[in-house]
Amino acid sequence: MKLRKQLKTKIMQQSKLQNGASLTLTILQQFGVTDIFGYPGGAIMPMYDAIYQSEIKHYLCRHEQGAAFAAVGYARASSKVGVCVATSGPGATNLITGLADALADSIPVIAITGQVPTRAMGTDGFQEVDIISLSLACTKHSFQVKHVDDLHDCLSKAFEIATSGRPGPVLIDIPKDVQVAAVQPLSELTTVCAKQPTVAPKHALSKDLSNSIRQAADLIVSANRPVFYIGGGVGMSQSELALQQLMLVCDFPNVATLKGLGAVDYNNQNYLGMLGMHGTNAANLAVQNSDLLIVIGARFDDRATGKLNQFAPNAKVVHMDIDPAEINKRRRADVAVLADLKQSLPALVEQIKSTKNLANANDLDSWREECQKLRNQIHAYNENTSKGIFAPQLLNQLSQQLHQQTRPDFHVTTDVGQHQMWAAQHMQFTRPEQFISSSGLGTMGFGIPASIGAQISRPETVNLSVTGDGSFMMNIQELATIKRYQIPVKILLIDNSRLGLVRQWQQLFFEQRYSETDLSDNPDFVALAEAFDIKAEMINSKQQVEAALERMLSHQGPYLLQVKIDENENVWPLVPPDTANDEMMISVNQ
Amino acid sequence: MQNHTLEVTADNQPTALERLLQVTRYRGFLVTDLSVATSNHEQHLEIKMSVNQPSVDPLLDQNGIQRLYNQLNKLFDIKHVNLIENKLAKRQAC
Repeated sequence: MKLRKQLKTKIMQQSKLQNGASLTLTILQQFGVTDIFGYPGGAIMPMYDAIYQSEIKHYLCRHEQGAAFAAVGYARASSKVGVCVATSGPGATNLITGLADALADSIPVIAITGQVPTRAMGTDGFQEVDIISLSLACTKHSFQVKHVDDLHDCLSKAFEIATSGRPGPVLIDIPKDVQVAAVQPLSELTTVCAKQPTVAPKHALSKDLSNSIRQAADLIVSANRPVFYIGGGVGMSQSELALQQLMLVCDFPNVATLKGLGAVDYNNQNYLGMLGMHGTNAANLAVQNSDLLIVIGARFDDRATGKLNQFAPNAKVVHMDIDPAEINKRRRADVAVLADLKQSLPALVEQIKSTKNLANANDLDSWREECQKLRNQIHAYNENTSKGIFAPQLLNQLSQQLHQQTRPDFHVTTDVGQHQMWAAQHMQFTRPEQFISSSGLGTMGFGIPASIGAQISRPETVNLSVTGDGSFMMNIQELATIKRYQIPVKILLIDNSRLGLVRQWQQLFFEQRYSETDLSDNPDFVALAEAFDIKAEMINSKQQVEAALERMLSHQGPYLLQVKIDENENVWPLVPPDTANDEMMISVNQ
Repeated sequence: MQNHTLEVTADNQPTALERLLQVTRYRGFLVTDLSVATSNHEQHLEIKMSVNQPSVDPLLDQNGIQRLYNQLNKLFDIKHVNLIENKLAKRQAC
């Protein structure tokens, strides 16, 4: 075997050829890729043979879904592209959920899948699946490379597509014979990662941007009850500073979506918190009573709007986004500013500055005052009804400790469920990449692998994964990845032995028929973590919280803190389904 | 239920037609007529497609065809989409 490898290398050297697999890695390096996540298998073996000698660091996850989420977390913690690799058939299908997640949250991810050799394609070969067809609905684009000479072009386009316009995932399927085919090496290895994307949007960024900016500014200066509605697009386009400038010129009340959290510093005096189903009373009432919504990099998601035809009924809408398909999709825009926010936000600031003074100062002042009153009441009804540890309080305390202790920065990932909503409501963020949560797709099992990816992407930061006992079990195998690479993520497991958010809905809307949401037969999580050499402890009383959080945050390696909470604890407020956002429930008996 | 006709120019890639049909179905439209031919030395596909939209939600039905147009326009393989005004509907309106 060794002899055969030596012979192969010798032949390659003599002919100055490389194969498709090693060329793929060379191209990845060209695009600045330093880390990839994946899992080997038959049809991707040539790629793993090339990885064996590559400068690119490969992280072995223990399930392809974990690799995909690690790539998503990697991309979300930085401005880099996440890359994941899997074999054909089941390896490829296991990536699908991660790609759907990346598409829903607009995350630049490249997935490389092995495929059976071209001569076997279409014959129902072993581990053959039509991954291109499967990927159509969960990627921005997919390529199948039928000839090794097409590799460079496909990979280059894949990076451009993944990062340009509204970012998203791209899949590249490479048959095994293409991976082993000889190909001329690239003449020189140049880093092109800083290159601007060249896949030009073929349509309809605002043809006359200055005209739409002027119209937007006219609406803004004449509004009496305006609200900024901030989405994930601000962070994606790295426009936080431009947004700050806009908010200096117009100190209007502002609200954020789940993916927009952190785009506005929580210290901002006009920040009213998250809007929507589990948003703050302040955010929802301000939006419902506004006369102008300035929607920045957001898409009127149904969890944000509640009952659509009763959403902000008296508001005009200025919608700023890069994706033409989001304009007028769920809510008609009075003015659409279709451009990269990096371009449109500064232009809007200049336009507003050059326009006459903001309309009726008295009306605006009374609106701000009204919103300030709402802001002061944000946490008023979050009373501790629980005898044990109260999750909102725990997360608030953790957030304060993170802000005080972590240098230079931290990332919080979450899974999906009650703990996610509590984290969104009660943790504070100053930058968008601090909060990494599966927002659009709502994927349980996201948090642990995403945290692994985030830690590798930004090794200098503290990475905290807030999870629940349902979600934790969904990608529990990634504890092995944590162990293998000694990834120092801190896992805060909020354990109510229930599938909490579903249980809450069963309590409120399904007459307390608790179908399949009792998870009280969970394993011993501390023993489980320790089996992976991860230091772990469990707490169940309030008196233990502060010291336990301290132990977790100061520990050098990975850590699991299991926090037992009352099974009946609910997330409040809640806007029931098909209900307007101003009809919020704040208790079971309401 | 209103009929619409779209003229689409796409790169002649194996997945172009499949992706076009997938987006059309996902965005709530049924294909009632479809013709495809190659052009530009087989580099492009010229697709003429008629669709209708079964009503789901009156609020979302408005501008439904515009939303389909926008989504199709985003596809990498699709070079150009032309939404042809429905002449029959126009005649009936007159």
